[in-house]
Amino acid sequence: MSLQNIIMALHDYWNRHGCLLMNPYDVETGAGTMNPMTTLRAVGPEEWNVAYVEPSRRPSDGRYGENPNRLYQHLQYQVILKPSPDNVEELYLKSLEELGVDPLQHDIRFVEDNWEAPTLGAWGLGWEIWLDGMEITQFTYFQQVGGLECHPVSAELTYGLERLAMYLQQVENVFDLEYTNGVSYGAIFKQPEYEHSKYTFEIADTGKLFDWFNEFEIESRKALDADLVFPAYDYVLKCSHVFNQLDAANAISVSARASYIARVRTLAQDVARQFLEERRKLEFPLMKDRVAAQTWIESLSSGESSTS
Amino acid sequence: MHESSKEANNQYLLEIGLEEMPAGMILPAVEQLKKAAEKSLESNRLQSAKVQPFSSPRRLALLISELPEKQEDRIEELKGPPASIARDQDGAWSKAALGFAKKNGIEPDSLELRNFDGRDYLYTAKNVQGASLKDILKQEAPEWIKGLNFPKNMRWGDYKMRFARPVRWLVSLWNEEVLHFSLEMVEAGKHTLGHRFLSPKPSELLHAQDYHSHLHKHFVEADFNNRRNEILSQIRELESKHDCKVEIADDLLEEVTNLVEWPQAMMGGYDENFLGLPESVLVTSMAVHQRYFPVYSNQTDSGGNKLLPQFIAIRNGNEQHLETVCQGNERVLRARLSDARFFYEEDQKKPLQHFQELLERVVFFQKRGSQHERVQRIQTLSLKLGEMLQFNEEELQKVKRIAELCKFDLQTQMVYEFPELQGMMGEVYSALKGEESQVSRGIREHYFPRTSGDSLPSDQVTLPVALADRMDMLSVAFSLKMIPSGSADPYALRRMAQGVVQIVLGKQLPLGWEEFSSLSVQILRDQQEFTNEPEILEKQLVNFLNQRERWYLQEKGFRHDLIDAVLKPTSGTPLNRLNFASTLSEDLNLPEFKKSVEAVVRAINITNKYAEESQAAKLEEASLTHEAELALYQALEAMALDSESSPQQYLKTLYQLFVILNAG
Repeated sequence: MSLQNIIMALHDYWNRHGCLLMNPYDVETGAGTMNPMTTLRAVGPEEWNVAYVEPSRRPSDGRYGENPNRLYQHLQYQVILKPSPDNVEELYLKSLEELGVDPLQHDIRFVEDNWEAPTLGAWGLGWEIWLDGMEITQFTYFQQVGGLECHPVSAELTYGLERLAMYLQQVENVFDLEYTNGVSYGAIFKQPEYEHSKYTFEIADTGKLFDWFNEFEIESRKALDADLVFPAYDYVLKCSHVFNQLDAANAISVSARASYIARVRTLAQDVARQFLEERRKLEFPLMKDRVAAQTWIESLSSGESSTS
Repeated sequence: MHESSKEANNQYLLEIGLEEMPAGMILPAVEQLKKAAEKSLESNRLQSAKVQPFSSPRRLALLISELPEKQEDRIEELKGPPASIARDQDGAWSKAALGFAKKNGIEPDSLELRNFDGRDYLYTAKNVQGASLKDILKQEAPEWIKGLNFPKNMRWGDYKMRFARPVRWLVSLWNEEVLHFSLEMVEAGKHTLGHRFLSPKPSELLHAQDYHSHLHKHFVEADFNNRRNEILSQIRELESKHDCKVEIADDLLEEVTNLVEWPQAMMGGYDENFLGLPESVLVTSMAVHQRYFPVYSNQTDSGGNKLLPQFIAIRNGNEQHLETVCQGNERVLRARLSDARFFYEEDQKKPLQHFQELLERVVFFQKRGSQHERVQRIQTLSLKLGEMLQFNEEELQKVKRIAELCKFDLQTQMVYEFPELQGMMGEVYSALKGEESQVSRGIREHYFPRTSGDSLPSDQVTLPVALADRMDMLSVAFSLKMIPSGSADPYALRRMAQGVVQIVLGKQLPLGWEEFSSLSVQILRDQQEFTNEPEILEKQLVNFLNQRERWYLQEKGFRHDLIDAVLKPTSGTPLNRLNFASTLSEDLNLPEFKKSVEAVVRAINITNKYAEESQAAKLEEASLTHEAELALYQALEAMALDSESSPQQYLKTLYQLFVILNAG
C-alpha cells in the first residue's frame, strides 16, 4: 500500500466514523498536537472529532537526508475523538485492518507510554502501539492542555505515517518508500531534508532567530490582549518553531532552555484560557446537549475555574 | 445461627475489565484489591473465606470461595448504665434504665445486672441476625474498586472516575447469579472478554468457579504465576532445541508476563556483524527497548558465556503466522542496532578530551555552573577523601583520573540516544583509548550502588569518586533548597544519600557525615557564589545522611529502640554506631543485660538528683579512707571509657558495673 493510499484509507475510515477531515496547518508545527484543531479544541466542553495529516517539523532530527530513519519533517496522521468513546481501542484497531493489518497475523500491543508537551502545558496517559515490536502509533488520553484540566477527555491517536508505511511496504530506508505509483518518498523529500538540515545547522542566523522569538512573543501578547485567540496562537506556534531551530543549532544553553520553554508555555496557557472564554461567549455552539452547555456557561461565568 | 454455619461453599467472582494496564501496576493493584477484600470480609466476621487473585493486562479479578449464605447470627452483649442509677428513690426504673431498654427494643423488666470490674451494671444480650452475604458483597465490592490507588491516575470520556486506565466491563458473580452494582460507566454482569484478537466477542460466564478455565478457553491465562511459568518453560524448550542459554532477568520476565494474556515465545536473530558492538549496547537494545531476552552460547570461555546473534521475544497470541511476527521484530531490532553502530563509530572518531570540553557547555543546575565545573568539584573532593583514607600516590593518581573522566560519556551520541548506558559507555570508550582497566572500570562503577540491593564499587580507588559524586549532587541540591519532603524527591536525592551510607558502612570506611558535608559545602562555595549559611547547609546535609543511616540500620533488621539508642550520640562515626548496634543486638535479649541496664539507670537517676553537688564536688583518691570506698574508686578508674573504646569494652564495663552496684 503506497503512502498516499494509506492516507486515503485513513481519511475514508475516519470519515465514516464521523470525523471532520481537516488539513495540515499553515504555520510550522512540531506535531499534529500543535495544530489548533487539536490544542485549542481539546480545551472546553464541546464535542470534537477530527482527522488530518500533519507535516511535523523537528529541526533537531534533521540528518541531511542521510539517516534511513530520521527526518527534519515527518508526517503524522492525527485523530482527535472528544469525548473519547468507550470503544476507542476497537475503533483504532479496525483502522489498522483497513490498512490490511490482520491482527491474527501480527502481534499488536498496547505498551504504557505517557505523553507530555511542556511548551503546551499539556500531558496525558496512554500507550505506544507496537506492531510486531515496532511503534506505529501514539495513543493518548489528554488529561491537561494549556494548563487546563480536560473535561471531557479527548483521545488522541497519532499514527507515524512513515513508520507504518515502512512496515507495510517492507522497506528499511524511509527514502525508499513508495509515495504513490512510481514516485518514491526520496524523490519528493530528499532535497528538502538536505536543505532544511543544512540551513538549520549551518546557515540560520541565530541572532535573527532570537530577535524573532522576542517579536513573535510580543505580537502574540498583542493579539491576546485584543481577545484574538487564533492569531495569538499562530504566534505561539511561531515562537515554538523558532525555539526548536535555536535548540537544534545548539544556540540555547541548558539553563536558558528552561526559561524559553516556560515563556512559550505561559503564552499557550493564556491562549487556552482565553479560548475557553471566547467559546463561552459564543455559548459553546458545538455542544449538542444544550442543558449541559448552559451549566457550563453558568459555572464559567460565575468565575468558577474549570481546572478545579 | 445454626442455619448459616452449614457448608460455606459459595463462591464470588469480581472481575474488573480494563484497557491495557501499565505492566508495572498490575501486581500491586491486584494485591491491593485482595487486601481490601480480605479486610472487608474480616470486618464482616468472614475470616474463613479464601481470596484468590487473578490478573492480566486487561483484568484484575478476585475469586472468593468458602463463603456462607449469610453471616452467623450472634448474640451481642450490651452494657448499660451502672446499677446505682438504675432505679429512682421509689424503686421504679430510672430514666437512664428506661432509655437503655428502649434503645435496644426490650422490656425494662428483662434487664439483668452483671458485674464489670467490681461494679454492677444493667446488662442485656441481643440476638443479631446475620446479614446475607449477597447484600454485603453488593455493597462492598464497588468500594474495593474505588479504594484502589495507582501511582498515576487518569480520567476518560465524560466520566468523573479516576483509575489507572479506563474500566470497560465488570463481572460480579455469586455462584451463577449476578450481584448487581454499577460504577459510573458500566454495570456489573456475567459477561467477560477473552483474548483481544483470538476471542474477540464477549462470552457469558456460567459460574464463578469456572473463571479460570473459562478464560483459558478464550485464550487468556489469568493466573500470573501460570503465565510466568508458561513463558519460562517455552524459553527452556527453545533453549534445548537451539542448544543455547537464555539470560532471564527476573524483572524483565515479570514485565513481559504482564504484557501478554496468552504468551508465545519465538526465537529471532540479527546479523552477527552487530556482535562487534559492546555487549551492554546489544543487551540494552534487546532487553530494555524491545523487551527481548538475550541469548548466549552454551559453552563457557574465559569471559563467561558468549552472546549469540539471537533473541527470544514473547508474543501476545498463538503460533499462527509466528514467522511474520518474528520477521517484524527482527527488522525493528536491525534498525535500532544500525543506529547504535552509527553512534558507536562516530563517538570513537573523537578523543576523550573532546567530550570533556563539551561538558563546559552543559548547565548542571541553574546558578550552580556547568557539568564541567561539577566534575572539577568531584575531583577535588575525591582527592581529599582519598587522602583521608590514606591512599598512596599511585592510588591517588587513579582517583584523580576516574574523577576527571567520570562524566565525559554523557556527551557521546550513544549515551544521548541510550541514557541507560551512562557509565558503561564511559568504560568502553576509555578502555578503547588506552586508559588503565581500574580507571575504566571506575568510570562505570562510580554509579554503584544504583539501588538498595546493588553491588558496591569493586575497587578501592573508585570509592572516593562514588562518594564525591553523590555528596556534590546533594550539596548543590540543598544549596538550591531542593530538599526532599514527603514523597516528592524528583532528583532521587534519598537514593543518592543512601548510596553514601551503603558505601561507607558496606566498605567499613572510618569517615563521618560531618566531614563529608563540610568538605563538599566548602568546595562548592570555593567555586560558586551563593548566600546560604554554610553551617545551616552542613547541618541539613548531616541530618539527611543521618536519616538515611537510620534507613540502612532498619534494612539490616535492627530493633527500632536499638537504632534510636545508637543514633542518639551525635559524635562518633557511622561505622562506630553500626558496630554498637551489631554488638548490642546480640546481648539485647539476655536477662543479664536488662538487669544491668536497670541497675545503672537507677544509679544515674539517683546521682541526677544531686546534679549540682556532684558537679561541684571533686573526688580525690587521697581523701578516701574507707577500704571499700578505695576499692570502688580503683575499680571505676580501671573502667574509664572514651570515644576510642570499642562496643565490646562498653558492654563489658556495663556488666562489671552491675556487679559493683549489686554488691553495694
